[in-house]
Amino acid sequence: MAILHTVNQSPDRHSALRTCLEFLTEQDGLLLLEDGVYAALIGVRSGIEDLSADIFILKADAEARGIAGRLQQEVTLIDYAEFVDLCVTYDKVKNWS
Amino acid sequence: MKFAIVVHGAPYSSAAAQSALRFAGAARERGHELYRVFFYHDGVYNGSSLLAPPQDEPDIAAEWQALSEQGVDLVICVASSLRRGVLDVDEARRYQKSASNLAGGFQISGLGQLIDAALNADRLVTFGA
Amino acid sequence: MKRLLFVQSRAPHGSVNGQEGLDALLAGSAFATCSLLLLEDGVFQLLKAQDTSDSGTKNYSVSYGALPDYGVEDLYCSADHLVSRGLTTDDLVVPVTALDRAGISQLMADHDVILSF
Repeated sequence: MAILHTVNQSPDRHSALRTCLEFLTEQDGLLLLEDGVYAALIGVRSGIEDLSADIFILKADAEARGIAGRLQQEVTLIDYAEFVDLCVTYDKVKNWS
Repeated sequence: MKFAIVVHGAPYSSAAAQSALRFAGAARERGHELYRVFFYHDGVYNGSSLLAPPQDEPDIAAEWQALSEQGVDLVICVASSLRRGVLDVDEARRYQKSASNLAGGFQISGLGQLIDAALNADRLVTFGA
Repeated sequence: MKRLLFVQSRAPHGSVNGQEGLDALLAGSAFATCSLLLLEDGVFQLLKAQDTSDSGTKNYSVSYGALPDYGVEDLYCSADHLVSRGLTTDDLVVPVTALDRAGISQLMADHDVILSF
């Protein structure tokens, strides 16, 4: 029962990502959206660098914040249609807000 | 697949509404059914008929209205909405308020609608504040 | 029948999230098998000795004590989050099972839907 974890808060201001990473397992996926996208900035040690789980970034939110060109290479940029597809691929969705 | 969406954030105060609207549009384009959108916590403010944003900002109320016209069930939690002053005509009368302000396309109902969505939709996707 | 997991991550009184999360859990208990998981400041929801007589907020912590009457008997919290806040399960108004990280991952895997407040 793999889970898609969504995090919409900045790692600097909020514990959502940190707590999510405590419980995220290898077969789960992580989707960063809204202010959550800042966790994937190059040079930011937010904890996602060491993850073996798949990491997705909502492209629209990274672009809106001007950081689409400053993201760590391990992440996959997705659009909303792919966000929907991920919800189908994973068995359930857990939001961390 | 049947999707249910939960919105916890007020419009313009958080990004929850915009994210949920974009997700809803994409889900429908992908051929999925939108079982319900349920508004909880400050999300109930999305159902106010009194939103009046500046003209150069997104018209969130109009976007919800458009979704409703496509037959999507938009449900505001009654306990959350009464606390925060989003009332339909019946509730305004019941609590002897001077006006009602529930936007067209939304309906006020109980938490049973959230549980029903959790049980009957294939996926529940929450947009938090 | 689907199993629902309700997750509380915020402290009481600072926001209404906890109270509305409890309302959702009580509603859920009428229709489905429900469990409660307390994470982070959510563990404070169940702390004993909450006295709201001068705070202008509602003391709904007593309502957690009624959860077994609603058929909600599976109450869990993060052992780490409890310890890091200087608490033990004895400090809480109802019996709660403290789980380690792997236990919480398993708990989330074992439920069909997760609702977070």
